[in-house]
Amino acid sequence: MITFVGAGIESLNQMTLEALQQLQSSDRVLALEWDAEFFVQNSIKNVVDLRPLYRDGDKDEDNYKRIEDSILASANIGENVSILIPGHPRLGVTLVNRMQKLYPTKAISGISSFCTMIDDLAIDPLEKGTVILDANRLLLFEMELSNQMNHFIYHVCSIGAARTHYSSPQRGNLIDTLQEHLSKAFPKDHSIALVSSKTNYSTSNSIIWFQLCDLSKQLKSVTFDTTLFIPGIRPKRINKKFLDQLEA
Amino acid sequence: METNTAHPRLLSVVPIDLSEILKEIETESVSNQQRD
Repeated sequence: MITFVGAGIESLNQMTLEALQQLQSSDRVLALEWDAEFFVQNSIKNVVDLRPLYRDGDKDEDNYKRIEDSILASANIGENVSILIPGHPRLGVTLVNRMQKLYPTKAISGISSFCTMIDDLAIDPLEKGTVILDANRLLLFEMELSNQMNHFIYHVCSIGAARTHYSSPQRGNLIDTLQEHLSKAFPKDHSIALVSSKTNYSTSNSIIWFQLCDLSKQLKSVTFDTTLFIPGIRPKRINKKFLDQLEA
Repeated sequence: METNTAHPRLLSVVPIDLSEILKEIETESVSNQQRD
């Protein structure tokens, strides 16, 4: 069995007790999130650092294949292997979808960046309704947006990028194309924000507000932890008959 | 080697089921042409 374990975002202290117990009972832990002190303090043994397999400038396929081969090498010798993943293993992790087609796989929930960002922004995503999207799929499938809802657009670090440039997310980034697409649904002066929650790698969270027409200029502030947040616009119409029912 | 200073992006830029999507689009396009 291969188990993907959510590590949380800010630090490994965010993982659930279920996640911790899973790591403690594993024959081997392959880690994409690292805190050596935490592993020792919590009796998590046989931890292998997978982070060097995720290389700057490589294609996704090459990076993921290296990681996948490492997981299968452990699983194929009958080990009970866990893969420690930043965030939630079912939110934006292609490896989980690939592995579950090859091998018995399960996932243990973790606090996701979606959770930490709604905390950072102090919003309830159900009030306006909220859409979470990947920037590349949004543009590839020319998805139409409904401007009354909040939108979290993930992976603005890699728009149209065939390679993983984590040291320079600005390289080959087609953020102009995203700005143009968003401008079809939202006013050009609409306030939007680049949001990065606090992680192991940063000292605090970051929220940078600006107008949609200035999105391209803000590319300099984008890192691999950045998500674009677009608040929904206040509704312009209401179903009065339904309101009467709600207030009856 | 450069050290990553952020979480890795673990979602492939190319959708995992892209080939199936393309096949369906192609099939639909052919059947639309035949109807026309």
